[in-house]
Amino acid sequence: MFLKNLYNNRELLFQLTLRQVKSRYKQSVLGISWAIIRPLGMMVVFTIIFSKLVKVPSDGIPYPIFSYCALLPWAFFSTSLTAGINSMTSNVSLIQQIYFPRIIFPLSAVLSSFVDFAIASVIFVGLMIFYNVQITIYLFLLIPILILQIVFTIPVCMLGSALNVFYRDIGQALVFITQLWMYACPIVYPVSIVPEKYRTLYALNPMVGIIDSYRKVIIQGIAPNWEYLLISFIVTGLASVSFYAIFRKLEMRLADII
Amino acid sequence: MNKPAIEFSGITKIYSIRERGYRTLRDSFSKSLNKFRQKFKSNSNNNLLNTDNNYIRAIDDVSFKVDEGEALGIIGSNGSGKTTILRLLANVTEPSSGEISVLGKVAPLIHVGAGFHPELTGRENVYLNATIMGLSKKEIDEKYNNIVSFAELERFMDTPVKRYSSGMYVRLGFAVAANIDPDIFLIDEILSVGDLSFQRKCLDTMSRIRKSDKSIVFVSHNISAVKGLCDRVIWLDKGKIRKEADPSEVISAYTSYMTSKSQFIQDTSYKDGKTRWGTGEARFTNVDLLNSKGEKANKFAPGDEITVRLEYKADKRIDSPVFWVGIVNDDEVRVFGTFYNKERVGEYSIKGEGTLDCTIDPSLMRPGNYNIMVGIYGVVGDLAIDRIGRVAVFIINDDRLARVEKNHGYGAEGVINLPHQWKRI
Repeated sequence: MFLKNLYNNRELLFQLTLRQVKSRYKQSVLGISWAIIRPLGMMVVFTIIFSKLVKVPSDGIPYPIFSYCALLPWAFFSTSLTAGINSMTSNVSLIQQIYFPRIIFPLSAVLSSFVDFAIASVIFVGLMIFYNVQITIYLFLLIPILILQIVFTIPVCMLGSALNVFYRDIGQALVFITQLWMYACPIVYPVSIVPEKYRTLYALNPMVGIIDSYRKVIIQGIAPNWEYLLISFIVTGLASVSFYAIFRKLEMRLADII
Repeated sequence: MNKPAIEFSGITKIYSIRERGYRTLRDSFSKSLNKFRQKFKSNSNNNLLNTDNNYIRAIDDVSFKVDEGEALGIIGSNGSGKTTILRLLANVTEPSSGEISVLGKVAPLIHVGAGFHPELTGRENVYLNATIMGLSKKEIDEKYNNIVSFAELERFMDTPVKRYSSGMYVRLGFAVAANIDPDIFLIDEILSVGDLSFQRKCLDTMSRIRKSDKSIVFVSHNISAVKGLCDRVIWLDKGKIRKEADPSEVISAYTSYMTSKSQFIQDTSYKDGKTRWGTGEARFTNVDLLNSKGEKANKFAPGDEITVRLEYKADKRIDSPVFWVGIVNDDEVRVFGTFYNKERVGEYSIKGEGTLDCTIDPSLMRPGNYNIMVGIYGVVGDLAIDRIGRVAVFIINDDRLARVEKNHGYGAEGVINLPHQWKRI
């Protein structure tokens, strides 16, 4: 029923996503290339700090591509989060006047971030060629992992956007939350750095399993760590069901509170 | 008989008065704790809400129906619950109790240009807005040219909307809205934006819609527009239906009520600066409307005389103040104004109490409701000594004229009634 609703509103979803993508880059000279500059820039900074200065180990992978491989999906996640959590509070008049399934708001935020992600992935292909990365059959696991990431991102944005209407603190704290979360993921460092006894706890963060798996299947060409991936899968499943249920409960009260 | 397009049964909507729902987690925690405790004490949550000062009943046990093809008008002062009803109809919020049944697609024209983004061009915004209002891409493609010509913005469709003037913006938004084809239109004060020619276009469109089989719910302060467009009118007062009947009946009841409420007479305070202001050296103590027999009256017919009797009191001597009487119609158009000043009568002065009469021949006035405004001004640069907005309300009745014009669209008759003749040659 959820999917049918979505299908009926697909044009609206498309239009809102289009609006977000266009508004982000119109009237800026660099335009859509910002989608590339951001992760690339972070990669450069991180390489200088965490590879040259601090010398964080990187599982034998050249640091630039080690970090970029993680930065890219992370950028997708964090821009989705930022756009998503604010998606309702920045559309007050729409919410107060017209009804369509509110899920369209966070969904279009995630989709518009996906556009950025897709563009920045092109650079990644270039990097892979540059570093002579040998790809293996495991590369195809990339797709289900990406799907898992998206399936995790959407409920988080859903719940976040609805809660933000009630407690604006969430939007305020967002920058802070995203930064902390980034360090809670194996982006600048590999999972191997985390002490063994804490690893399972650490992997409760679904992004851990996801990001680590990206590295393994794309760069290292080996199977992902099934244990972490399973944990990510379970947490994502639980989050999807519960967050969606809460979201539906809150949906009709949004116009009253916003 | 067909099921009605809209049916409200016993609808109540309760809002929390506090700024925004629950601001802190601590608040919501203690609130739910209280609710929990209350559940054990008394059986219904409603009891809590009745006595709790933090809640307001925006709509209180309201029931009404709108049949297919019917146009319902809703009038009432600000805060009477009109916008809440529109929101309930648009399914944007849920009633606290009661049942709503709405059949068909609903297009809310509460604020033209919903979803417009300033960075996008006119064309992009049309697609966006029309999609939000429920049109499919194919339908938009078909109607696109209509929309653009209705808005008269052919040359500007590829310019970002942030460069539009406010008039262009509103025209585009309304053009899209006028081309949607819903079963039910919800219209809220759409006439309060845009210039006169735009308002004219709006009303023409609404008349056109009315001739089709669509239902309309029209919320407005503009009494004559409501009268001209609606089949039935509901008068909403503080969340309850005060009267529901055909337009002229409800409107006269509403106007009589407003007449009796004609505030001020004893209220010589200036707290409500909106309708009364001034330096106060002289003040109106009373304003009455008298008919040709010298009796107080509020209804006049052609052939009558309207005397505006101004009673005032000047605290100190004022030289040649200017007295002003203005008459405003339902459309907020200033129909007539006149001054009593030294240019008219030579120099004079006032001190203490006094009375001034202004007798007006209303034979050129159209039937309808009118407001009287009065003012005392100082000589130097229009300094207001006492100025009152709505001080008295009166009605001009002209049954003969009303019969001739019964079926004509809103606004066709104009602001004044000039003596005229028709002749076939």
